[in-house]
Amino acid sequence: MRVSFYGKLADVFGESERLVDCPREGIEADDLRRRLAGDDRALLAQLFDVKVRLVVNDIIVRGVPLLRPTDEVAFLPPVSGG
Amino acid sequence: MIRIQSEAFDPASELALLVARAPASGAVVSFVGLVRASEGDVAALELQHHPVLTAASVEAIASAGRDRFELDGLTVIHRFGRLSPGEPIVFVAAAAAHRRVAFDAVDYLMDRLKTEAVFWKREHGPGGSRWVEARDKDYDDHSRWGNA
Repeated sequence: MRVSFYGKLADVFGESERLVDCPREGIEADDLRRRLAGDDRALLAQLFDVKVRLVVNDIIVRGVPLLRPTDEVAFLPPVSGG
Repeated sequence: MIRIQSEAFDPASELALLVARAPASGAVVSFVGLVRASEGDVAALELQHHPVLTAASVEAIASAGRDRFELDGLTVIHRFGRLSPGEPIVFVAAAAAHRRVAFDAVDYLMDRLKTEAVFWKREHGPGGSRWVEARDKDYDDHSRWGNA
């Protein structure tokens, strides 16, 4: 599963994209967050921040969807345009 | 006309284009947002974008503006990439029959772009770089328009 990070999250992860092993039956979004954070509690807090949005296949999703191995997932920190 | 681009643009020619496209309008209002040079220590502003969601967010904001105000023409241009102080980042111009509608439309569109357009800003200076988020003031400005 391809996971992308934008804005400050890319800095925190040290990369803008990561390939994550995903079981065939899928993985819940919150489990993916825990797996990405590992032992890093600060990172875990950032991924669970309500202002950080989850994007699946270029669509912003709410709740805790089940993610499939072929899904393209992205985490977006708060935006700032103009 | 809506454009998301890394290339520089000329606000004066964009304004002239809109005026030419809306010959029956009585009012055209434009806004140009620039990379602030006053802080002195910002060498560059980097605007990161998302390949799909950035354009979709700007389109949605422009579309809401067209629904809310009776406009004869609208131009929204937003840049991404690395910009230098003084360079235009964003251009919003609206043509309408009367001035109040044109002023309000541009004000509304800018308030929404500041808080909802999918971009991430990073200032680069001599001491390193820092991410810039929308300020509380930006959200206050946005709330003036209700939930729309």
